[in-house]
Amino acid sequence: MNSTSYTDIILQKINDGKDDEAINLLYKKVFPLVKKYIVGRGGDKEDVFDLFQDALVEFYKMVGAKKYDSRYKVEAFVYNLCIHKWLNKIKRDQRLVFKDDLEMTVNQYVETERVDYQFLGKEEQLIHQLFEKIGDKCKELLTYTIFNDLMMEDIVIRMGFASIAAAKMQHQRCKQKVLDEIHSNPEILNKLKGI
Amino acid sequence: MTPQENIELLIRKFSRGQLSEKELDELELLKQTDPNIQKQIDDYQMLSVFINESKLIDIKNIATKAHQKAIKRNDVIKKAVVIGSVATIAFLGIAIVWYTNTEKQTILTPTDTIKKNNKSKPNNVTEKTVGLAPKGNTIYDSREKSIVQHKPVTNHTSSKDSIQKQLENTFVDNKIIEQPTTTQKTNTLNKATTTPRQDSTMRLDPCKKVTLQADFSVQSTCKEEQTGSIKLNRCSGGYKPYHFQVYDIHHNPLDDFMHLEAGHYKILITDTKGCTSWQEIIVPEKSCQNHYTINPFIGETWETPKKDKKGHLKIVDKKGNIYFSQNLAPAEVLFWDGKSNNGDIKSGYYLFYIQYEDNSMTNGTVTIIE
Repeated sequence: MNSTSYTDIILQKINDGKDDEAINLLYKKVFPLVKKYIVGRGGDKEDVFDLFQDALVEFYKMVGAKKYDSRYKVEAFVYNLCIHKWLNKIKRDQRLVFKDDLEMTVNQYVETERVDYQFLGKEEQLIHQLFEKIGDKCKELLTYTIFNDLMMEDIVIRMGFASIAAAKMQHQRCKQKVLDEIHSNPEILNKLKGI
Repeated sequence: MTPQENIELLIRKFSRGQLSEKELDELELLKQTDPNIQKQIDDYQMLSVFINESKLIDIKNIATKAHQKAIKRNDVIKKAVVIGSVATIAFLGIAIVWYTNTEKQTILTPTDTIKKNNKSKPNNVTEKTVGLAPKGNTIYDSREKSIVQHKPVTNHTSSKDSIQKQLENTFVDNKIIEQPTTTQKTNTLNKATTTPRQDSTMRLDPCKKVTLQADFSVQSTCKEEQTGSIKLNRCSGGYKPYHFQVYDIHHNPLDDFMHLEAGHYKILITDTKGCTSWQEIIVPEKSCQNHYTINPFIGETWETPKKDKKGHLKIVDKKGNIYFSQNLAPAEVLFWDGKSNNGDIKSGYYLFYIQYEDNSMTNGTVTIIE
């Protein structure tokens, strides 16, 4: 498997909603390298996975926002994100930085670190509970339209709707259902309004 | 596209920052004319944040699961390695203890076995001290009797029997010991060369590090005669006492190795542990002048050449008178003491002729001196 096809496969899997497969592939390929790099330079072994997870979220955000340039190798991109995040963490912790060791394989991707994820712990639970109420089907449909920004025609094929009209109707219902749930849950509403 | 769908598309693009100038103006105009548009934008953005965050939480969960799975797999591998290492060490420990015990047993066993063999030997098995010059067919006949009379030892293991069988006639430190066994077969012998004797107490191969080496002196034979011989000088390696068995080219065991014709012979050396080694010996041929001188007055004899065929010996004096004559059986060696047919000994020059049944002849001279 060459790098280009590997990147294509990952992006295709993300686009198809096969996140499990995409993340497992990335984990197997990138995580050991990141671990080797960080631990080999005196980094904390416990931090490696957190950094990898954050880098993965960052990468997904870019893919979701259609900002990811598919000319970059996915594995190199995620790897460099991890390294940058680790270096930033070291800076914050005022530890030693081994800048000389850093090699960029992706075209100078520099992302200002933002680790202020809105939902942590309790909020995660709330979101989980909310989606349990609206069901997996709605979650999938809304993810396709909002996160993946797919056309309704595409969604009809992927989710097996009878027609575009049926898909649109279902989408409308799901959207309304979620909004109702959000509005009825002041904790989430306040959090979302604050973003 | 309905007006509502158009508005939703604009809101969607607006939320993603994908609106063109024209579309942005259009949305601004819509917002001014319809106050509900702003609410739709807010709802969409709220929903968008909610869905995106939900998606990212899912990503985190999937990654966590992958990580936990990998940790679990690594733990299993680590455990397997640890268990494997412990098992290997334990196995090695057991093997060492077992090997040590077995070594002790194998050192003791051969002596026991020999004693057993001696005890189980039937009464009519003979042990003769004849050096390396048995008197031809005398011993051979005796052995044949033993073979007929004795049955194989039955209270030993089958593998032991196999080895015992191959040692039909052995000589130990210049002693010939006749074993009470049946006649040998070639395939049994060949098998014995690769399979050391296995007692019930012997589990490891004791012959692995044993190299048996024997040094023989070979006396060449006169052309078309059987005057060659093989004599043991020394033997090393293995455990004493050693057993030797000479086989001819047809794998027939020989009990007489002092009257050999020219050719290849194989010697099976067996030590007390049953370790074996084969050695090949060539008895060369030489041309001999058949002129012999003996002094029978001091006990010297003239030894007739050994041939595997019947013959008739005539010894005549220089006048052509028959001094001595006798028939020779196949493979018989006559030790002539110089006496005439009358029983007296006259010194002088004699001619001998041995006419064989196939009309071949050996002749020469024998001078009797005083």
